[in-house]
Amino acid sequence: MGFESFGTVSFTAEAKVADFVTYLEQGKVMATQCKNCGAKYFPPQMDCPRCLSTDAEWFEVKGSGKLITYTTVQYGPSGFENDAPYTLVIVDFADGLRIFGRLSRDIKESDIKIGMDVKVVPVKLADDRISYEFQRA
Amino acid sequence: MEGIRDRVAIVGMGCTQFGELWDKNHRDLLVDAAYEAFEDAGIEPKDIQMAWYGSRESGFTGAQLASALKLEYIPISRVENFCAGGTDTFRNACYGVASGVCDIALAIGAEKCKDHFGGFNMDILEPFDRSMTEWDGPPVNQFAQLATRYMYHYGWKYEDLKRIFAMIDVKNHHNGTMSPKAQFRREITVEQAMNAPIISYPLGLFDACGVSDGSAAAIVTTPEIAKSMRKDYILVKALALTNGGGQAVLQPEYDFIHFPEAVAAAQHAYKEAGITNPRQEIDCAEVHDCFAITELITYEDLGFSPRGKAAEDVEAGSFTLEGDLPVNTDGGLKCFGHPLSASGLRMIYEIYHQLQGKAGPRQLKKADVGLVHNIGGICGFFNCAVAIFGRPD
Repeated sequence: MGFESFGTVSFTAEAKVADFVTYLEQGKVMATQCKNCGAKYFPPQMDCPRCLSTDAEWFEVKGSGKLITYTTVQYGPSGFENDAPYTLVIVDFADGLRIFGRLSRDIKESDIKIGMDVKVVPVKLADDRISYEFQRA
Repeated sequence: MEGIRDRVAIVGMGCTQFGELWDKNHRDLLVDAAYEAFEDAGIEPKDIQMAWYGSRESGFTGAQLASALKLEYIPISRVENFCAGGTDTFRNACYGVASGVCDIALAIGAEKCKDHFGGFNMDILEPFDRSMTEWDGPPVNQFAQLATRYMYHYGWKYEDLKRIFAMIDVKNHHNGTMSPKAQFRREITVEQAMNAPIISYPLGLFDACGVSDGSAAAIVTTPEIAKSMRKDYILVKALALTNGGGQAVLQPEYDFIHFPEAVAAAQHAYKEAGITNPRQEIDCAEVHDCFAITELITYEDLGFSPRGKAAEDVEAGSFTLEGDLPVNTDGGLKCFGHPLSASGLRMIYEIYHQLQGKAGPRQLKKADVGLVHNIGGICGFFNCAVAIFGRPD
């Protein structure tokens, strides 16, 4: 079990952080924290680029974060053509955790504001695929 | 540690037409660029002792160049470094000469972007975890996020920052009208650029460079040999290259309003060239205007403008042909398109001619020191090359 069912296009099946998808199916968006130096990572990483430790643990991303930048894509790359337009965002959570992903289509482009509070939640896509997105907190 | 300053000279350069070259294959482009460079340097292909060949999309291994130019049984390395590939190819050839292992080296980059992979190959990089690749959209999405944050950080209204982008677009299109080898050679207006369809908010059609085919080449040697070949050879003053460690999106301290890789490369290059005040000491620059926001931020990263003030210099016309520091005098990526590994060498080709006084209708009155800058990749994962050139005293 890996990333086969993740996202519009899955670019790999195998990954050290494949449990991310299992957690998504359980309704949780998870990140990792290095057990050695405490650094938090999203996308989750089992190897810490800061202290080079390979010992990390999972934690659930809870609460709201602040949107720090975004772009609304009018022309999607290969495999994403039918998804456009969609909005990509970067969101800062507490304790130095920064997450990127798509913004919910429920939020109109004219309502997107830098600094707005959003939360991250798992979402089911077509054809039994799964991902996550940001929604208004 | 001895730097590269004044240890390598350019004695010949060539550059093909850039554009949709359906009637030319990759080898035709290599031949056209190389033979212009051979003729310019007054040498034969047999005089080339070593070669460095830049390609990302269109050719693998040095044998591609060996067969195109019949450079048999000499060492040829293929270089790939994404958007900085052309300047890095040049850098490697310069180091070959400076090391003393060869006297005359060829640096050449070529890409056939238009009929490979239907345009601009986006078999996306693998910055973090391949499973997360939905964020790793094409470059326009990467650079757009900086544009959005730049707008917010400095309190710009959308229309006002779009006007600044448009002024950069108009400048480059104007310069491109005087470049016979450019892909786009027509004027545009500020209104056209501002009202063009959005590709990735807030960047529109004219805020983005084109996709094209092309090739450019340089012949490098020692200054001693250069003197015997021509009077107007050009000296390499600095060669810098940086690569990001892949952490910026993850690191909360990254501000999305500058490129740390470019700042580091510029600092290295200025130190090597002995430049302390780039705005005063550099006469012309070719910077990586893949998107208007990239050119705007690059003015600040290179120290041409104070942080947050580049737009003021754009409004003042500082970077036009008539300004105090003309940038992208040939029209830039905006007008030449961006065949990845050819672009850096195409930019060096323009600086070479400006410094020689041979830039035709684009010729600047004062062009003693010129700079080339390339940046590519995604946030936290950029690679950046900065090169500086000067004339012999």
